[in-house]
Parts: sequence; structure tokens; C-alpha cells
Amino acid sequence: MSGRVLQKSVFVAMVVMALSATAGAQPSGDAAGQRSMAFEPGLGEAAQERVPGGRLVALAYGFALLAIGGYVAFIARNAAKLEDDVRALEDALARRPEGDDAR
Amino acid sequence: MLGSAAIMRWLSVLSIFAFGCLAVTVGLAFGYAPVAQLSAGGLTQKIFYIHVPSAYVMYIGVTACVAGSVGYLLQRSPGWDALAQAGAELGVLFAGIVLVTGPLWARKAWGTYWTWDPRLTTTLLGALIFVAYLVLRGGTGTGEAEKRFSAALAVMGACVMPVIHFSVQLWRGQHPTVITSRGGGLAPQMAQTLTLSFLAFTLLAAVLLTLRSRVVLQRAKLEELRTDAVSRGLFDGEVA
Repeated sequence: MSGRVLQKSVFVAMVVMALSATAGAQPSGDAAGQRSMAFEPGLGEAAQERVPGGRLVALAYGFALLAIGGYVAFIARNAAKLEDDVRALEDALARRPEGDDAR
Repeated sequence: MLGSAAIMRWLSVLSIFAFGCLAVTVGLAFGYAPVAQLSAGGLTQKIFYIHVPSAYVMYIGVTACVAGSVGYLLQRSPGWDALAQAGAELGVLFAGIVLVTGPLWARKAWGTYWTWDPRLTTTLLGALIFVAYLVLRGGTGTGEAEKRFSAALAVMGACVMPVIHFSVQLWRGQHPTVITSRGGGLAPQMAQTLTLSFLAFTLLAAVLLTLRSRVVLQRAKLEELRTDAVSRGLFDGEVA
């Protein structure tokens, strides 16, 4: 059953990939060349900046670090709670052996 | 326990190292790497040091999700399922970072937060597919059929990843290519900072993927224990 699901999934994925390859085969000129860019030191250009870059950079770094930190905190909180829950259940089950149904 | 003490100790060491590298990367980005030319965004080009490694971790997450999904479809093992779920979360988290930091950089470099450039559009599409995967996992229960359906969605959804990666080579647009054999390039200090950033994000991805997989496995174990407890008449299933 799961083998069939996998076969179908792979088949659909291959069809979609083939379609995207067809789209990619359309004449695009030298797209990669047109996009290529070198990052170099912009000496003395900072004074000419009109859009305040500092706020944008602070927002980007702040968001990224908060997102990563938040996910770490989420995992840690989940792990601690699950560990407590599992331990409590295991203790409760150990106190009541199998077949000892009180109800 | 979430795992053997030795594994947890290694994970702690790795995570300290990863966050240390991340802190040094931020320090180098602002104190060592020079401000780029205005056409690259000037000061906002410093977003590059978290934007590109985040995109790379997004690929790692999706690859883990697909590997876990294929493994689950073949073997129905909870370990594969946990890897798939952890990978999808990692992929969505870092796709979110890419999709927020990119527009902030673009505001300065291109004069607009968003444009329907092929790279941006396909990245958004890919992120939405894996958001759908997580919604499916979170909203439809933990049954066998739901897991199989999610795994199939992940395998099909992953086919957009090569499109994202090669979109800059296939179609014209605004998103630049910098690290390529066909042009571009980085000043040496920028390349060194980016290398350290890649190391920090790789370590971070490994730690997050391992920890999250273990938490998902632990949740599956808790569900089993609950079922066992209810079958023994221990309580009505709402405890724990």
C-alpha cells in the first residue's frame, strides 16, 4: 500500500519536474550572465545612501535571531514537558501492573 | 529521556559551538567585512551573511523531510516520520527567514520590498507547500493514513526545490547570482565571513534537526503510553 503511494508520489513529482524543465527550456537568453554580480567594498559610498540601511539590517538580523531563538525555546519547552509527562505516565503504569484493571 | 546522555552531551557541545560561530559571524559581518557598493545595497548587503545560509538550511530541511517521507513510505518507521516532520519545520522556519530578510535587503538594493522575480516567487511557492505539510500534520491527527498522505505531499512538494535553485539560471530577473562560475564574486573578507556563517548554520541545522526529531519521537512514545494507560483503565486519557 505504502509502496503504491510512493510510486504515485514519485510519478507526479517527475511529471511536475518535467514540466518545469520544459519551462526552463524556453529561450531565456543568458539569464545567469545577466544576473551575475560581484560584491565589492563600496569605499566612500556610505555617505550617499538615501534609504536608511541600518534600520533594515537591524530588522533583518533581529528577525532571524528571534526566529531561531524562538524555535530553540519552543523545542526546549516541548522537550521538558514531554519528558515530565512520559516519566509520570511510566511511573503510573509501573505502579499498576498489566491486567490489574481497577474499573 | 530524550536520548542517551552521550548524545545529549554532544548536542550541547555542538549547539554551543554553533551559537558561538553565529555570534562571531555577526561580529565579522559588522566589524570585518566591508560595506558593499551601493548597487549591491550598501550597508544592507550585510543581510547577505544570514540570507544565503538560511536558504541553504531551507534546502537541508526539505531534503531531510523528503528523505524521511520516502523512508516512512517504505518502512513505516516512526523515526523516518519524525525526521520528515523535523525537516519540514526546519525548512519552513528558514524559508521564513529568507522571505523576510530578502525583501528588507531588496528595499534598499532594488527600491522595493517585493517583486515577482522567478527566484522570489518559486521560494514563496515552496515555502507554502511545506506550510501546507505542517498544517496537515498538525490538524489531521496522527493516524497512519495522515502520515502517508503527508509523506506523499512532501515528496511531490520537493520537486519545486530544483526549480527554486535553477530559476536564476533559467529566467531573467532581478535576483543576483554571486557565487557562480559564470561571474560575480566576493571580496576576500566577505567570502571569509560567509564561510563562517555557512559553518554556523550547518551546525545549527544539524542540532535543530536532531533535537526536533527526538521530540517528535518522544511525543509518539507518549501517545503509545497514553493508549496503554487508558486500556488498563488508569485514567480517561486526559491526564498527561
